[in-house]
Amino acid sequence: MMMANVIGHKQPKMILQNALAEGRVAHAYLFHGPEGVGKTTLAKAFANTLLCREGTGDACGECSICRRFAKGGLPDFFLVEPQGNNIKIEQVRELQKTASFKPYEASRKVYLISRAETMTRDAANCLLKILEDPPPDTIFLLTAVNPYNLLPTIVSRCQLVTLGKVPQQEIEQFLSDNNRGDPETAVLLATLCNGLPGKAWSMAEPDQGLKTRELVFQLYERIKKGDISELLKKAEEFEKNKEIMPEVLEQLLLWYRDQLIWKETSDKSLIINIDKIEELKTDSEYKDKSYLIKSIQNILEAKMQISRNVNFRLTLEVLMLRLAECA
Amino acid sequence: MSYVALYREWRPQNFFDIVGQEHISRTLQNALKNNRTAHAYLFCGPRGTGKTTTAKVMAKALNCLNGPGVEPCNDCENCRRVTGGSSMDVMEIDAASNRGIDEIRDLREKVKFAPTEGRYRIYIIDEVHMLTTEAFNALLKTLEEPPAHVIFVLATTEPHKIPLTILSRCQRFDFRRISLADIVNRLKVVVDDLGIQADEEALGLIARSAEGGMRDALSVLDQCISFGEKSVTVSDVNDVLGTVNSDYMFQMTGCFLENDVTQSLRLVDQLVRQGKDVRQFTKDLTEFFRNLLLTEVCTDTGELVAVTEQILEQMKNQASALGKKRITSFIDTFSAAEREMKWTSQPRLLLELAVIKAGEKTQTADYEELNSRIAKLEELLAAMSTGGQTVSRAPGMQAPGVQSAVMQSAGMQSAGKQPIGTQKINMQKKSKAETLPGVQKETGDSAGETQSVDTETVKKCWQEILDRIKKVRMSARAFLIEGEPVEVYNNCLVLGFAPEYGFHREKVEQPENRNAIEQVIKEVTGASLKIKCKFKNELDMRPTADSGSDTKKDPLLEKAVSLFGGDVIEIED
Repeated sequence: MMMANVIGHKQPKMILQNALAEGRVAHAYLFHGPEGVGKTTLAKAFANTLLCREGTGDACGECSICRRFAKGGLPDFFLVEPQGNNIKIEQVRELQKTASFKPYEASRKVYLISRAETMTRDAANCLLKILEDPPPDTIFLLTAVNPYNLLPTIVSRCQLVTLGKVPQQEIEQFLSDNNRGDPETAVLLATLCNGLPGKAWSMAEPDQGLKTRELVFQLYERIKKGDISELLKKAEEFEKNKEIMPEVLEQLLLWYRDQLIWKETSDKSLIINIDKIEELKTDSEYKDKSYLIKSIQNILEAKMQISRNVNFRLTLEVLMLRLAECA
Repeated sequence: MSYVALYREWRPQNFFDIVGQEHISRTLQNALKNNRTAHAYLFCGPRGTGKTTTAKVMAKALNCLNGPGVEPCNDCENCRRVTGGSSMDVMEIDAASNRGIDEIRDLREKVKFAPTEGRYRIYIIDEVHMLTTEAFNALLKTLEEPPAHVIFVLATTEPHKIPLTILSRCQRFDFRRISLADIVNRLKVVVDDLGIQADEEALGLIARSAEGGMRDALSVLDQCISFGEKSVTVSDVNDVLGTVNSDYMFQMTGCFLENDVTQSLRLVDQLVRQGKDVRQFTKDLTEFFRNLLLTEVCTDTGELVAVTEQILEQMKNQASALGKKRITSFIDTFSAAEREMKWTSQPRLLLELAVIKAGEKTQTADYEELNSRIAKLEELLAAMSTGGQTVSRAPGMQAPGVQSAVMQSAGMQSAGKQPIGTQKINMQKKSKAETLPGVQKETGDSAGETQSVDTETVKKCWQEILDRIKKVRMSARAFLIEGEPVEVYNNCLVLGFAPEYGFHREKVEQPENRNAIEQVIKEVTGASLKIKCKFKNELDMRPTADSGSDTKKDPLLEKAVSLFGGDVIEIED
């Protein structure tokens, strides 16, 4: 996996490669940015580059280390991922143990701690010491959506790599190069994903993403009509299909956000759901600003409640009623 | 040899280099000089302020072969071993990884052994807040009376998690956040040593972002050096930190000043596209407003606002244009947004909401103004209800005209078309017609004094009726409280009493009580009703004639029918 193949993130890549070229690679990096922006992808590519024997400033993709890295059989690369919902203290203890050994084949050992914010409090504290003073030639790469959810003591031990949105054209190119859907869908997905290639990628799955979006707009039609009995039925359906709910709410949120932004600015360049612009024009016409703001807050609240394990169906029903009531 | 991060490479090796903690260094050095070292120390304070570093320096100073002195020599065998982490007598324990009672028992076993090389055995227990309760308790005895050759140094960022019994056995040292100037000076030393060009302003930015933690500052500097190759400029720092320059802030504030929501949302969009940290921006913006506020309220800001003369001038202009109240409301809005951002995956949305709110013309967040408006409305209401005219105050849908009229007048004010105070609300009845035509019309309609009222309304107002009668005639209330309104027909209000309250019923029917009650009912509902008292068992016998029409009017039922459709089925038992 070469760093040159990771799309976007010009600046972070430059920082990392500069550090490598000057021999100033820090012992801990924290990659952070929104879900699907390419944190783990970039971190893996960087890990591969660090391990590669050729040392050209990027992974060569051909030496035995690179080939085994691609297959996932390299003993000097360790991936720590949440087991269940959390990264547990046992995992960190295991990490501490292996970290004390010398690297097998490559010149370094690289640990990738994916979704570091899921570390339990114990696990995070346990990591502190080794993160500050790791054995020589050991490098930690952490990824997190929101660094503020990590212990401040962890964040202060890492160099932060901030990943911003990827330009639309690059995502478009990326999708068509990899044969994800026809050119038209690629354009649509590239705009919809809001600069997040990971999201565009998963949305291109045949029965994913775009289908969810259809669902959201069906839902929105119902809300618009104030068809409450139908909405309550929907809530029941969603209960059986909980996994897609965060995505549904996210999309719904963005749609209400678009309405609000359109109402305030009428500026096309700020709109995310760009293909629905006609609907946007007619819909936001008669809607009140305070209603839109309130709806957004309602959706945010529902999202939060679901993440806190409040009764799922009840939350949805309340949300539906609230959204429909003031429509 | 692999690269060692700046904050590790530049870890101070003696007391002199430890920045910003003079109160602690001095105390410890004096203790060393006078041979009055305690057996247990607790170092606490925010991240990156030098707790572990001080502990290590202290350990070296105690065991230094050329000592004990106020500084370690960093030259002898012992000092070098401590620095390298191979000393047998300085135990650095990670309490977060070894947090159980077994590890502490193990420690207690080993505490007894005499030091092998130096004078003392020093146990540095880092992240000590992570020990379990049992482990803490197991440590208590040893911590109180350790062998003469043992010194404990506990270090933590969270002293509130440590049991009181532990706290009372240690000398506690609170590390302060390191001041901006101290951090900048230290950074200068580092860049000079590395032979790197760096602007003063850039170092200032780094120091500010570190929030008093030297480690954070050095981490960022490290990153800026990799980024900028041999030089560190302001724009490098902004790029690395994901922050924006002050121009951007001025633009944003300018948009708010002109109520240009579109432009401000474009600025947000630009920010996100550049991959800047939205929450950091919100934080910075709040601080910018804080500076604006200070320039507005202080005649001489001096040290409080650390910016150049030119920027200060620009700030003053914007601050006076915005006004104190508006700036305060901005600070409220954005700090609330920043708080919320901690928990959300869509920080951009929250920022956009805040921006929209800040760009609004009216300042609804101003409590004083709202309060004065409410006070006016209350006066108006009071004038209407005591003004002799019977204006209905029923909370139901009794008098929509009045309500909307009142709301209109409030709306007129809130729209800000007329400055408050110029629109004088005259309390006199005569001029009410001019200011509030809606009310006049409504009251004109009900001039016949007999307004029809349905049972629901009376029931809703019952509590208010009871409250009011307390002021008019306390004794009447005492009797009335046992009755409950049952229904209204033919301008009569039927009150039901339980059979055992015959006395109450009689008293209510006495003319003086009766008149008082009827008067109050009239004041509250606007209808003059006669009171009829009945026992409840009498009521049950009588078939309710209009129950059918009553249920149809039930608003709850109506809503249910409109939501779900279908027929109304009455179940009688």
